[in-house]
Formats: sequence, structure tokens, C-alpha cells
Amino acid sequence: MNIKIIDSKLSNVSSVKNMINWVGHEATIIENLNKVEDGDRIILPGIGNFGKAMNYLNEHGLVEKIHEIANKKKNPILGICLGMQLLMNESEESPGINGLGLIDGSVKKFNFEDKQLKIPHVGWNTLKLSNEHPIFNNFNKNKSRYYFVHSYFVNCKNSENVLSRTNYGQTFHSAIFKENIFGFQFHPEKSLKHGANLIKNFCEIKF
Amino acid sequence: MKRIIPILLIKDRLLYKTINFQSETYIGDPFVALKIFNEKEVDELIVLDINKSIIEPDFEFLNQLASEAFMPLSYGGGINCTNTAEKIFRIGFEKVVINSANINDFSLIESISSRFGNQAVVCCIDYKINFFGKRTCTFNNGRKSINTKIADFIKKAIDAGSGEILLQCINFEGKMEKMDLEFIKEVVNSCSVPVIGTGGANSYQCISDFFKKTNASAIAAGSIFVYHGPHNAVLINYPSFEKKNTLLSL
Repeated sequence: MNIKIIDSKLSNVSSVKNMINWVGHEATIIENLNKVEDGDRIILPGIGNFGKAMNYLNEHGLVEKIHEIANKKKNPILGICLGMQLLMNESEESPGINGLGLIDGSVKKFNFEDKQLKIPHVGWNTLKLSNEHPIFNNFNKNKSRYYFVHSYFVNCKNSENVLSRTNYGQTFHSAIFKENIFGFQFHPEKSLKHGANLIKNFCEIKF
Repeated sequence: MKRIIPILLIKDRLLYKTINFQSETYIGDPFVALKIFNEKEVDELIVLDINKSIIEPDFEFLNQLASEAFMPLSYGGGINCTNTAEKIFRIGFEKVVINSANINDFSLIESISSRFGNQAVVCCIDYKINFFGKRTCTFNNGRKSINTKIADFIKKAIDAGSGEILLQCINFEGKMEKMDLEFIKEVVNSCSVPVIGTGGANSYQCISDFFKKTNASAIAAGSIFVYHGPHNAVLINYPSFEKKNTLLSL
């Protein structure tokens, strides 16, 4: 079993790799999915624009490959931040562009009447777990906190896909899953030992 | 959530602490400090290169630093073009701190924020208070100053795309006496983006007073996180989760 990080040139893959090393595992940075083996765990980080990222994945033939490993081979996949949003059907950030559609739902923009609430949502926030899952093993509901930077948020169609909810002006879905597919809106790689715990779980739990 | 941010001053890959931007005192190995700050769960770290003759950031060193830092990171020192900032982001820093490049105009802030977002750009205001109590913006480690009113300067920096303001009082920096709370409060109240106040904190109690008196988003400090005791022995420290909640009166 290997841990592989997809480098779509739109994100900072080194922080994710550093975090994986910190929890005692090795990771390889890959640009295509040709050599993914059964059981390999795949991480899709991302920062930036939904449409640009989907165009990149399309141009590099990665969309079909991701579908193949996610739906047929059932490799565990974790999308982080924009990487999570890409798992959905569509985003208000880039109307008319299809997402990966691996989990049913859409991505919406924060829109607050209260001008005190800044966009993007930047900073530490907490999670309220909605469904039990071993990916949250050792989660401390009083102390665990996570680092967020985003202007758009995920809204799952089915609540069974929601692992956690977070409040920032409104409630949104901060961690989601469907079988072998996971998404975190926050940055576990920048969330100290709280993020390390989730990354460790993703690397180690049995699927 | 209010933030408490240690500032690490770096020169030639070593950790220093200054007083009034001068009298550099060697503190120790930044990697040791970093390891402790990971364990103490700091909210965020600001790394500033204080080398006065800096031409460009020490990317190799910063890369090593980022590979062992698992919290949000800001870096300042020698950032003079968008490509340099981009390299810093790719290394694993979330924000760049811009000061000297703003002396003539805000074009650097404009170009970085338009490519990487406002949240990635911190405008650092280093100001001095003169004999008559007048405050002026300074650049190049406090060596140059301009006449623009600080409030006007901040407004322009925000219009250019700065997502956060680091407000630093040079007179109080490193003195561990007091902070410029009245002024920080005034700036925060007229500022549409988060303000990090810094300069002069002397104890954890000072953090508590800071948040009681100002509505700032964050406090940053150097001395109180690297010194301990009446004789300022070097000891890297940071309030625990419980202590922090008490300080913020949560």
C-alpha cells in the first residue's frame, strides 16, 4: 500500500507530503494516475478556482482515471479544500463546468448580510460530527480544531454523506464521505496534531 | 477565534530577538523552537528575516522550516516581486508579509493579492512615535519614514488587496514594558480587515489585557514566547489550550 498525492500544479503538495511524513508514512507525488495499484491511498489537494482545476484534470485525462480508481478499483481517495469541492457535481464558482460528481451535491458561495463576517472564511474552527466513522478515531470534540481558508462551501444532497458540520455565519459540510471517498474542507496538513490525527487515520484505517 | 501568534526573527538561519529593531540577541536554533511550537499548538507563526542586507528570501532554509511546521505560516523579508511570493507559497507558507516594498506604491500587494487572494497578503506597518507623540510609518527596518498618516496608509493597503494588517510599534518592540493599546484600538475600529497588534507585550496577562481593550483579531509577540523569568532566560513557551481560554476569557 502506498500513499500518493496528485499534483495538479494548483496547490501546495509539499505541505501534505510533510504532514504524511510527520505521522510516520511515506508519500509519492504523482502527476498522472497510470501507476496506481490496488489499495493505494490517493490524496487530491487543491487551492484556487474550481473551473481551472477541472479544466486541468480534463486536459490531463485525470477525470476518467479518478472515476476508474474511485468507483471500480475502490482506492481510498481524500480531497482537501478545493480537492473536496471537486468531488461534487458543480460549483457556483464556475457555472456550467461539471465537477467529478463522485458525491452528490453542489458547491455554493458564502453570502452574508452581516458584513462583520469576512469572506474568505480564514482561521481555526471546530467540527460537529454527524456520522461515526473510523477516520475520526481519537477525535477530541472539546479540543480538536482545524484550519480553514475558503470562500465556497460544500452542500451534500444526502445527509448520510456528511461526516461533520461547521458553523461560519451558517452551517456547512466540513467533512464528507461515500464509501472509499472522503473530503475535508479544512487543511489537515496545517492543523497541528488535530490534522495529523486525521491524516494518520486516512493512512492506516482498514477499508 | 482570537489568535495568539509568536514572531520568529531569523538572521543567517538562526533565531534572534531584538529591542527597538536593534540590539540583536541570539536565542537559538529555529528548528528547536519550531518543534516546541508544534507541540504547544500555536495558532499560527510569523517568520521574519531581519537581515538588513537581504536581497531575496533564503528559500532553502524556509523550505526546511516549512517541512517541520504544521500550522499556518507567514513569512516576511525580501519579498519584492510576485514570483518570489509564489515560491514562498509553494514552499508551504500561507501568507507573505510586505513592508519595504510599499514605500512608493502598493503595486506588489495588488499583484500578489490578485493572483493568490487577499488572505495571502499581510501588510506590515512598522511605526515610530516621536518626541511629540506623532506616529509615522517606517520602512527598511525602521530606517526610512514617510509622512502619510497611518490611517490613510492602511486604507490604501486594504484597497490594494491586503487581507490583514500587522501593526508594529518600534518604540515598544522587545522592551517588554507595555503595548500601544489605545492606538491599536483606534486602528482596529477603523479597519475593515483583521488587525494583528504587536510590540511590547510583557506577559501572558498582557495578552488578556490586549483582547479586553482592543477588538483586534490577533496579538503577535516575540519576547514573551522566547524568554522566561525575571532574568529573561531563554525558554520557548506558549500558553496551553486551557490557559489560552482563560486569557481570552472564554
